[in-house]
Amino acid sequence: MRLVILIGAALAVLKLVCPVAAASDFEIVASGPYFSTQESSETFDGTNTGTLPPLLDLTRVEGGSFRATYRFPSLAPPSGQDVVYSPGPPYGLTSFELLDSSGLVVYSGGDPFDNFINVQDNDGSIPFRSDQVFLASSIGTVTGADIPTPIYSSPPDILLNGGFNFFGPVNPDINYTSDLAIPTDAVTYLSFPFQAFDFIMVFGDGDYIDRVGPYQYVDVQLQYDVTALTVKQVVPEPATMALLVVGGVALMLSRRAMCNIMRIGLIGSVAIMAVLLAGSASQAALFTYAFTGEVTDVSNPIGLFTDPAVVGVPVTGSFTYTDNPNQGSFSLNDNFTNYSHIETPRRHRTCYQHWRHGGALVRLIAIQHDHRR
Amino acid sequence: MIIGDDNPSDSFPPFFPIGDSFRYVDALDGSSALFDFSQAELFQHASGVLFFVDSTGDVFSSQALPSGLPLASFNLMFGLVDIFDDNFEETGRLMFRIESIRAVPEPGSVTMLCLTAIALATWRRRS
Repeated sequence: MRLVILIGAALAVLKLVCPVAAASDFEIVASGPYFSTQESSETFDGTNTGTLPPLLDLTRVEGGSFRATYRFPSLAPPSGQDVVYSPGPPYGLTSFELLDSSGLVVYSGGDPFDNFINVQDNDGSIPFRSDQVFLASSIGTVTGADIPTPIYSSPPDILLNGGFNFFGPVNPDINYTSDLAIPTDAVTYLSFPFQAFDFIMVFGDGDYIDRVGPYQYVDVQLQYDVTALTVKQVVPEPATMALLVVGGVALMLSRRAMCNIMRIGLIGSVAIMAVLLAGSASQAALFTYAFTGEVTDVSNPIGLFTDPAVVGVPVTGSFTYTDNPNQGSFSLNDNFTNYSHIETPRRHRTCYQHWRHGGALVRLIAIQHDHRR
Repeated sequence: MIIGDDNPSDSFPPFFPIGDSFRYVDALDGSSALFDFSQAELFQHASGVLFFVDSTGDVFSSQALPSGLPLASFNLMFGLVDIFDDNFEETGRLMFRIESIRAVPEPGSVTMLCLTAIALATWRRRS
């Protein structure tokens, strides 16, 4: 019994620290040639303006190509014309490579988080009705980029994003998707008239958002055509299989050996928990609240709120805040202080809110990184 | 977040309530099912605000961000969803009264608590 508890606890801990994928995951593997570059740069030291060098060696990537893999789970689609899925790790843009014209890898990376998958089916009004599948991620790592030396912020903001965009206008004769499911066949993706892979990198240092005080800023956006694409179903990860094998072997061992394993397992579990608890104690505290209520007033002159926006409709939701906001505070007068928090691209805990409005779940989560709270 | 401490009377109470207050502000994702911007002529910006007010002015003694909210002390709680266009014209507003609220433990904390309890119970029985 204790062994079962321990194995259960160990699996739960492993699940927490090393999430694994389900058997019904899918991977898009795509490639294609370079299409375009957009870039901008500006610096201000308080007196003079200037520019920074490009983040990437554009002479090498322009004329080259890309390879990338995006992983997503099997999800039951809702009804409607538009949906956003936000699966956490290990999903997202798991790997990408930017190659030069001779096929050599110039930049590569992965480590996705804050994934954003948007599927639109017959969205909008005629003649602007369209289908779209947009699979994007924030990216944790990229190799070889020329990161400027920060002067004003420690650390500076470095935003990396990448993903696929498949888009096409719909008319009575042409249709690309039939519901809000994430397509799992290459034919659907390749049928869209617009197929692109985008890579975006932003470096911001100092007051680059308001651009009043000193700052450094440089960004680059690369776009590639998608010309080859496959979708494959993913089998369970090796770590999961290894865990199952270890568990099976343990069950076949002698009782004495089992006791030793239990002792080691218990000590190990306690040690892991101690590390995890110590780690969480060093993070900013998060406070979450759930609420219920009722709509009391609606002003909807041009119909931007959807149908449930009427007085008397029940509202439920939750929100989370941190007592250690990363953007500090300011006070406009003696009566209140404003604290701001910007979700950074690294793996900080996500603050979120979602409200259920009427009968439909309304998730108002900030997908972008620059949402202040 | 905005912390108000001993705020005096104000001409527009929903935004600067009298007394002490906690205000939570967040930009909202325009792709939410709550909104339909497909027919809008200008780009629309939506925000969500939650107000927690203690009109007696006793709940906060400073403008420091509190570690947790003293829920029982608030005598006015409401929410506001506001939409503005690129010209800063308000194009939509939805207000709601918050009738009940409770603190929710972090899922990770609950899991860790359970695992720690299991481990300690097992350890104690073996000792």
